[in-house]
Amino acid sequence: MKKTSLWKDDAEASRYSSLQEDLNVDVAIVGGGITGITAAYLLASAGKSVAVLEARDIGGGTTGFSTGNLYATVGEMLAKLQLKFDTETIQAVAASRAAAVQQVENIIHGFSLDCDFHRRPWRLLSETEDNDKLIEKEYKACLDASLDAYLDNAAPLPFIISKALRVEGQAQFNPMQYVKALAAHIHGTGCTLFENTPVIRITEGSPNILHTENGTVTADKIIHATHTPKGVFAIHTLLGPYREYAIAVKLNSGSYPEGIFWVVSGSSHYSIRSYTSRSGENYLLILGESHKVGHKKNNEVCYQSLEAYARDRFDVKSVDYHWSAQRYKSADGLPYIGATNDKANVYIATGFAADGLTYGTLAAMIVSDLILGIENPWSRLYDPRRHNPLKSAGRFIKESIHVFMDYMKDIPYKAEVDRLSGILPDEGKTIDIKGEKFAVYRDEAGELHQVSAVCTHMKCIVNWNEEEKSWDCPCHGSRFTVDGQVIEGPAIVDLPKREANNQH
Amino acid sequence: MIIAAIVLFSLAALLGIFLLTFVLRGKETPKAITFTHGPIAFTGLVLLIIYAFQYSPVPIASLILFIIAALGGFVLIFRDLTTSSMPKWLALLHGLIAVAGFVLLLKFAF
Repeated sequence: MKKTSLWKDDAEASRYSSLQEDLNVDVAIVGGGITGITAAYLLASAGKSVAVLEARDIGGGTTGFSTGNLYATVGEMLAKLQLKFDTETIQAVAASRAAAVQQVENIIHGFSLDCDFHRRPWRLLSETEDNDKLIEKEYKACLDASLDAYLDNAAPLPFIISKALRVEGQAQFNPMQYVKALAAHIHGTGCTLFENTPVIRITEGSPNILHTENGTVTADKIIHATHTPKGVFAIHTLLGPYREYAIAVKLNSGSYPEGIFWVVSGSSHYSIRSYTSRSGENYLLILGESHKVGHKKNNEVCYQSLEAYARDRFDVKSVDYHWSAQRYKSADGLPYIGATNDKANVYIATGFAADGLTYGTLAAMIVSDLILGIENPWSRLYDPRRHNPLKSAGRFIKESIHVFMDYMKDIPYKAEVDRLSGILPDEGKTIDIKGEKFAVYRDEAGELHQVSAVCTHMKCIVNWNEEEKSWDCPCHGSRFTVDGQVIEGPAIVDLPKREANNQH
Repeated sequence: MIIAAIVLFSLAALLGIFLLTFVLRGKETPKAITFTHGPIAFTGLVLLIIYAFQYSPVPIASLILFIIAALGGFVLIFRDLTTSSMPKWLALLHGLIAVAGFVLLLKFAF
């Protein structure tokens, strides 16, 4: 079983050099996922000079861990959004997202990109009558949002369904192959891509300066296409970071259902889809078991729960892949896309929740229109400077309480262990030495990897992620390797290496 | 009410001195203490302001010093959370101004 995503294992490797000199461009994009690469394409096509600075490999972040589903509906449910906002808002949300899906299809056909794109129905299903009302409400909201929606009692799945909502004309693809193929087309055509080029400091101004290890990029505009903006932004108080898990299994029967299936089972939600790899191997993907980043002590049970769910409903032959992905929920249910201030030199795209591939594309469309001075019909809806205090209050208060409680766990002279000998092989724990907190991982060979346990974003204490072997910040979702390198999240600076100096 | 304010300021001062030992050593402050020191001190300040509106005479000098200390405290917490280093001189000054305000308050009360 491979501990990576199916997309990453099935994608061709890309090789872009890291930045080795100073550069001057119109637009610097931090992050080479679907948002960054799509924005780079749109801006370069319009004549802007663009540099994309990707810390690792193009498409290898959240894009490479996603579902590969594209749809006009939303994970938060249109019915819930309609209650919070109004019918006009959900019509705009559905229309904007449908436009983004169409944009993906246009790009694929325009460049003849090989990424397994298919138009397929999206379905929301209840397993028992208890959740039928949710399906019915969502059906009504879909109709109000002018979607091609149908309600019946069956779905092409090998287990009993109580109620089934179907929206035709949605889509699926291989997200990583898409992003890599698009990147290959745009590199060198007004756009330069750099991999293994983490941005270590940003000086905002006119112009902006982005500092990397071996060069600086001077740019009129910056786009933070990193799923959550890098650095400290007020918007981080309006975002909740969550992780979700995925498995890719093989079935004995060989009967793989086509389409996007969201199944409501009790209080749990699962996403199911099939995929055929480039070598012709079929897989069934099941996603679910969401939790707040850094808040799950034993996350191995998430994979076990997914496998149990899958085996209960499908004739599973083997579990071939497992991985997890991060998402950020916004306070009012809509993403934050646009300029951070009136100077309009810094743009963000975040709060996509579980709908990142479509919202990421939409964000690229909106931000590039804003930079090009083109009127975009949805820029106001998603403007990060919007004021929705009542709509945002519930989640803002909940997330703020979580963050406060996480800060309150940073008690002096108290940590998970008080001696290094308390850390077993292949185990990570925080240790406090004379009031200073360290994050220590003892690898299988017994070697200690010691870093500061204080998140470099906003100083929360990181928690150990047993499955990913990473240090995860429970406050705003920054994640670090055992040696302190930033994996994802708003942190820019690595966790500094520190020796705990406690040999007992 | 003024006694309650004094008790709260005393507690905040103890926690503040503890925090100062971390700042002066260039170490990260324990946030459980930071987020206890601040609210306790702020509550003391609120009680003092209420006292000032309800009674006469008023410990005006003490109040002004505590307000200045509080403003400094907000700057300090912002710097603590968002930058890699805390200005030691500001932390010391914040403490000294708060202590001056506390001494004047004790003089007023007793």
